[in-house]
Amino acid sequence: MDATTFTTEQENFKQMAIEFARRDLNQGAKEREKRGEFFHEGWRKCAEFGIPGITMPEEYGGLGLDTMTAVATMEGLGYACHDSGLIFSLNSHIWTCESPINRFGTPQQRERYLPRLVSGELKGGHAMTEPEAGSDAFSMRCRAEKRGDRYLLNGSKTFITNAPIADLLLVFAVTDPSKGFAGVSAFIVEKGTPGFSVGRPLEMMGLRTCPLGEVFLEECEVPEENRLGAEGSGAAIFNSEMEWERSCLFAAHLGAMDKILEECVAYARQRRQFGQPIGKCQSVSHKIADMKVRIELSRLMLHRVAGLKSAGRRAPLESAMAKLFISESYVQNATDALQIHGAYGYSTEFDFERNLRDAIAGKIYSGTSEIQRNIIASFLGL
Amino acid sequence: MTDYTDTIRSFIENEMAGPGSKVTISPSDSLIDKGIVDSLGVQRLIAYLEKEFGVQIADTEIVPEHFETISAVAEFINFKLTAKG
Repeated sequence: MDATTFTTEQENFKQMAIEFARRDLNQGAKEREKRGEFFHEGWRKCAEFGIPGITMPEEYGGLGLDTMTAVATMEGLGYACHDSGLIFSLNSHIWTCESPINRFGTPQQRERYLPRLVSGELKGGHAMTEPEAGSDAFSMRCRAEKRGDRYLLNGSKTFITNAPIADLLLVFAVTDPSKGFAGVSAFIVEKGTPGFSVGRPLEMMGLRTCPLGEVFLEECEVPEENRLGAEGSGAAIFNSEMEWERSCLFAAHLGAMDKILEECVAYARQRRQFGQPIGKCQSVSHKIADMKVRIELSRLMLHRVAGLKSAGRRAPLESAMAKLFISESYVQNATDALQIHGAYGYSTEFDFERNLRDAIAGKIYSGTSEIQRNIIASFLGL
Repeated sequence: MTDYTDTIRSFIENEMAGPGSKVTISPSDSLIDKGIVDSLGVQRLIAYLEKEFGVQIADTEIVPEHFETISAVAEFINFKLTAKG
């Protein structure tokens, strides 16, 4: 692989993640993908490896490492792990539950949840999307009414990553309907809380090993001490989550693109048609050259964002641009790889069609491509 | 203590109230009720404040009371600058 902006230690983490994924995560991945089955044992092994705790403080059992190391690890996993759903599930756990509890939680909340989230004993996620509130997330209807020292939550959520396996979810609900986005608050809701239930798992086109489901809240009583952050800080928490997710999760896409490129180059050198390797045909070699350009631009954008986050800087514009470019590049590269491999690419015997199905999800989750363009336009004063 | 109300108002009126709009916003108008600051706009406002005033705003400080009105934003910036010393 090419030289990166990683330090030797970060590059070592990436290599360790590659070896770990090859050794412990890939067996049976194709069958699990067909069945849409979550890999519980893989989750446990990832936790043992330290993935959920890479950037978490050591006092809670984490490794206390920087954002760039998390990015290096995700690149390694994306490169070598065939179970993209597991990687996505882990990232949701880290960036939309564990990390906001660490940044916004009270000392009691951090003490109560972080050690078990870091160890992988608890699985988490967040519940934002509603049937009528997708890209327009803050038009949500889910309500949280204050009753003494408790909140009563009512509403429903859909397409919630990890919902069927989650032990706790960060649920976003309206506490003050008169304030629009500024009237949304976040609550830590544990599985088993009366009034909290999860619907059937939803079957999706890609990332099929990552469980997704609906969440129902019916007179669900949540104690005040489970509110994360101040009342009305739901938007800040959500925006912060998304910024972190866009800065780190998409490193796995970069890793996957590196792997796909290697496979395309090897195939284009070995596969002969019309008396020569197909890589000698510009219709193939130019596709591969463009794949390489998209990968290197993705790397520059991603590492810039990770560098900003490592330095404690805000990066809403930069993370939106990186997310947009990387997710769309992944779809294009996966499409081109499939085309280069022809019928083999289209066959379910190989991973190219699975890569494409997984890649398409990246243009939708963590804010659609259209929302990223809205963010970019907004920063341009449009 | 410097009053930054006019500086902040100028940015909000010219950059956030809609391209080309000539609206006038009083320091006590609710930016949220008027739809001038939404969930995207608040990120842009924070980026502007950090750059213009050289302050670092923590995620936990992004609460409605700091961004409800131009006066509230100016007061918050004064607090941040005082804390920075």
